Amino acid sequence: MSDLEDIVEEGRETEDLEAIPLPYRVPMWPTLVRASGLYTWSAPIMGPLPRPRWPSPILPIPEMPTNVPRPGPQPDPVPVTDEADGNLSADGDESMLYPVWFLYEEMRLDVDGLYPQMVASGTVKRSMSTRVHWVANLTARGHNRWVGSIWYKDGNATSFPYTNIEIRAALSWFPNQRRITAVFSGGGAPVRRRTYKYKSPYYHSVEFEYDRVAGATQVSRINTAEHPNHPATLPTEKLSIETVFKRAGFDVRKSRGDGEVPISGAHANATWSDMEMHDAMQTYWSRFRNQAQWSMWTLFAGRHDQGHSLGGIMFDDIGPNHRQGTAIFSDSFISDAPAGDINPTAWVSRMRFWTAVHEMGHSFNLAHSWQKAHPPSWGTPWIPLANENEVRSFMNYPYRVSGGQTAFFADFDYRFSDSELLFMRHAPARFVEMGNADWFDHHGFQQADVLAEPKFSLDLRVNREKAVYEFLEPPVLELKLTNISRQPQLIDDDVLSAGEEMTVIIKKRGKTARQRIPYVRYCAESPKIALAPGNAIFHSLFAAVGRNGWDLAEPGVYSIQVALHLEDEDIVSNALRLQVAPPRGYEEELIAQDFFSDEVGRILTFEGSRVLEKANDTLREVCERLGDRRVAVHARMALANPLTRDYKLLNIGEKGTRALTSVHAAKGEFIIASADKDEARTGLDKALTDDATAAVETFGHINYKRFIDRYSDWLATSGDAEAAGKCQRLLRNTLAKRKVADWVLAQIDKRCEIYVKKVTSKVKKTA
Amino acid sequence: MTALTIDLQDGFMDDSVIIRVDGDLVLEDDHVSTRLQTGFARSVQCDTAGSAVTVEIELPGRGQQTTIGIDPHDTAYLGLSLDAGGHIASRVSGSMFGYL
Repeated sequence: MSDLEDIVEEGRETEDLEAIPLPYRVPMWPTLVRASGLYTWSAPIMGPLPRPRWPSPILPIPEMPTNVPRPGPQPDPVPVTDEADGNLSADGDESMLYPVWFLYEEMRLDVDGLYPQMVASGTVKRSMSTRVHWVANLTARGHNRWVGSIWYKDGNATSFPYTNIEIRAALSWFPNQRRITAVFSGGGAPVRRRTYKYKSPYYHSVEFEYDRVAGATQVSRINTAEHPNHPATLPTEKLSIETVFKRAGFDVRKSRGDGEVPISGAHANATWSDMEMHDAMQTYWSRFRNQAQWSMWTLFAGRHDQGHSLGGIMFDDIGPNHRQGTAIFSDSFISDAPAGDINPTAWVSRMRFWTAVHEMGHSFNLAHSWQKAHPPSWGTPWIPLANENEVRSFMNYPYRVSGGQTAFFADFDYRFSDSELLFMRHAPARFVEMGNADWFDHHGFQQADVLAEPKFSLDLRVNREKAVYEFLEPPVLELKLTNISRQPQLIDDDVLSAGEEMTVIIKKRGKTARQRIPYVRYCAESPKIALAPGNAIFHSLFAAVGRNGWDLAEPGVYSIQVALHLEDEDIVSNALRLQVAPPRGYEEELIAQDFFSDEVGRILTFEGSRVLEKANDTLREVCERLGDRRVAVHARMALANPLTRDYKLLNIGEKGTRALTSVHAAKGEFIIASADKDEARTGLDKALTDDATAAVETFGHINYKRFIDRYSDWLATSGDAEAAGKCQRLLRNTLAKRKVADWVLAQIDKRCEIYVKKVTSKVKKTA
Repeated sequence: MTALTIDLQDGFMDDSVIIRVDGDLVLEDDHVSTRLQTGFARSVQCDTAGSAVTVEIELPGRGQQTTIGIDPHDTAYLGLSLDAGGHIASRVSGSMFGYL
């Protein structure tokens, strides 16, 4: 499809107007109207959504399915007729497998237009933590009708048992009137029918941003006919990088105007290392964030540290978010036209352009054409792939094919291969999206619908210089939710603490990601607060353990990410990387066998227990044998805290040990275990004040302040306001050294004043 | 004297690699890994007498070993890769290999 057809169909202006060559192909009526594109369905919300009583079951992100047949021509399924209405479920019918709170589905239909793959793919989103992605091959069966078999599923496949699909398209000159109706059948499930509304001719949106190092050459657009070696059928046009990716199915926007990076960003010899480019990306890319997003940065530079032999690189394979940056080096072999070439200037321009698209293709997680069938140690392909050693694609090296670059460009249509287009258009989005699945790996966490212009940002962080934790030390993280819009926003005041709408994903390097299931979810009427623009709320996150076990325990490197579901948008945090150090000795390993238990996890989560005695014994052992370790700080806190007040214990006597005995039948009663204030004070002093630096380092600022506030209030109500004031002054000094915000220090000052008044009042009374 | 450049290219995953040219040790590296986005691991240059030379490549960790005879006058660049089966594959060129 030419640029003009794009313009007419979308009814919008585009900068590509100037790129339209003359004469141009006049689109013929009615082929302008394509069926291909993105369609969506969402369920009307009729009332309060039912909430599960318990958190959703654990759904680890599965490894690549090994028993899925290679995509290819499949036997035609038996078409499902829609003439007998009794056999089909209407949209939204609750006889379908999905419960009523299904909210959103997408379908990408790829049957016409440029490089059609004859594929449909879809994503069914049930909640932030439950989704399934499917892909089907299609065969045309009459006018605007296709049938096919579903050959790929990713996610909660048991909730989507269908094996066949039939699609009918109702097309219109007006995009908002276009519909497709899909009938899903097979798999032993009732037939399911969905009618989707047209949303876009593109399958995904993506942003590009280019910067150029002073003195380097940027080539983001070429004249395809300038060099005479090209296919005879190749349209003559001014082709831009953006148009290449538009034809691949992406709605490409530029996130900012092209800029210049000073050469001082490189080291003295003006060549670039990967780390220098990564730093430049963080400095100059207007969209840089430590999170997955459909956005990437391309730097046109001179030369890489590797030298003349490196023409370009997708350098961003470090850190928690890969594939966000690429670089093209104009002072490299890509600027050396072959000896005797008929038009060396055009050859160089074409090669630089080709290299730019090639490197950007790596950001979409595309491998080289000859690297697709590889051992598992290289990474995980999304489906079994075959090498394409001779393919004329941006992802092959022109000089690797038979006949070399001359043969390559004689037959090259400035496109990606069909298998690459299949991946880019129809693979689960997290495999393709920049910053999501690691380079060469299809794993990833994308559970949320993030707005193009979100109102909030969510930061996940730690209050220490390096996110490295001792073995057995439970990591305490901090969440910061900031209003980044220009208007005040209403939120629940416990949006971060209740955990109701929060999904926490933890992934240890080399292992499958896991969703943390908290021990408790709070159900309460939450007052609303207005968060002014630029303001933030904070909360600590004890992510190490939950109902499904200890997820931050073994030594290793972890990636943690949090998604928060608000009323009309999902907010995804940065992916925080932290490390758990190996045990220092045999003693730690021995204690670990008892420490990493459900009971210890509960005690640390709820900050103490006077019932779980076996776990308390483990914590006492930690204090005795690992007294200098940070885990001992947590243990002391958990042992001392419940001693500060009288504690109600349910005593059900011996009869209660029998199964299915009611408390009443067992003559159960609540007894009071008295507070032990002396022991509580000794324990809390050891945990919180004897070594404040160690305490704040391991508890984090938010929790440490909360514990000191609670302790000092307890001291004051116990009659020792002077000690309470001393605690608050220690807190202030400790946090001031760590450069905590002034408003926090001001809060502490106010509390100190209260205690000073209490002391003064007591002195007066005594006098 | 003629320079011979030996590029270790695709397929290396933290491999031990030993290379000898005419019996002389030119490379011994215990941690050779390919950067998948460029298909390049590392490069080594050596001077040769200019006539036919014998290049011995050994991967002790994989039990792989092979010997290649080349004439640096014609083929000054030797590229070595490991295929999907872990076997050593080679290609030669009169001009520098490029990586993207």
